[in-house]
Amino acid sequence: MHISTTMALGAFGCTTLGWILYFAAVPTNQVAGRTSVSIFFELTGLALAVFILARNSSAAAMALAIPAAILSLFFFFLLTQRKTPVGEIAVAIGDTLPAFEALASDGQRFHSDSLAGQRLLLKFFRGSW
Amino acid sequence: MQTELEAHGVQLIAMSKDSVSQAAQHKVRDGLSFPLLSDEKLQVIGAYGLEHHKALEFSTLGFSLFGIPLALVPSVKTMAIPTTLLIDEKGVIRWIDQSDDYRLRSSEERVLQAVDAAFGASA
Repeated sequence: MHISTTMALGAFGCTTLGWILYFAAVPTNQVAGRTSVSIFFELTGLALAVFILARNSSAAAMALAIPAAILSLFFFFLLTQRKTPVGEIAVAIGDTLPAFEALASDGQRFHSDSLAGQRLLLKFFRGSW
Repeated sequence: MQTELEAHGVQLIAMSKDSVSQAAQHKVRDGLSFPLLSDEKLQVIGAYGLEHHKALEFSTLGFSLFGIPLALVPSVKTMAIPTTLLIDEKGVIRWIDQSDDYRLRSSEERVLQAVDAAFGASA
């Protein structure tokens, strides 16, 4: 196989692997720890892809390098989205907890009145994918 | 962490926009013994000012092999900003913790320090 096609395969492989590793970590909420590995693969893949594209390589190599570059750039865009805007929180320390209602995992209604006289650690989380 | 919380008489409850069935699955998958409340319409999350509107969410649409997603469909969803509230027996909020990185959760250490500070060292 022509060397640039091999490199293009490598680029595409790296960028795809970076994505797979990143999203494999998502269901188990381990994303934060796995990110640097994915970043490594995305950077490597991107570097290879840019090299191939800059060299006017064979059509086959370009055909692999372009999606590899796109995958990598989209991955980095995705990373920039990870900071969430905070500061719009409607409650403050010293406030009384606003009453609320929600559904428990067994389908029963839950009302915060049932927590009267009880110390509580209430964790809001993002939820599953 | 839960035994520490129990030692201070603190009940742990988690809430997200997951549906009731997603919450039930989550409980089983992670072996959780505390209530997981569902706020699918984001009524509570919205009332508390915890909405993150531009969250890019990728759904696997159920296609996955050994936990690796085979299909990824992006959509922009509204989700809760991970936030922890510590409330005392009078219903007063004693501590609030929010991370600006939505993938992280309050560290156990910080939570227990806050519990200690609010309710004193356990008996």
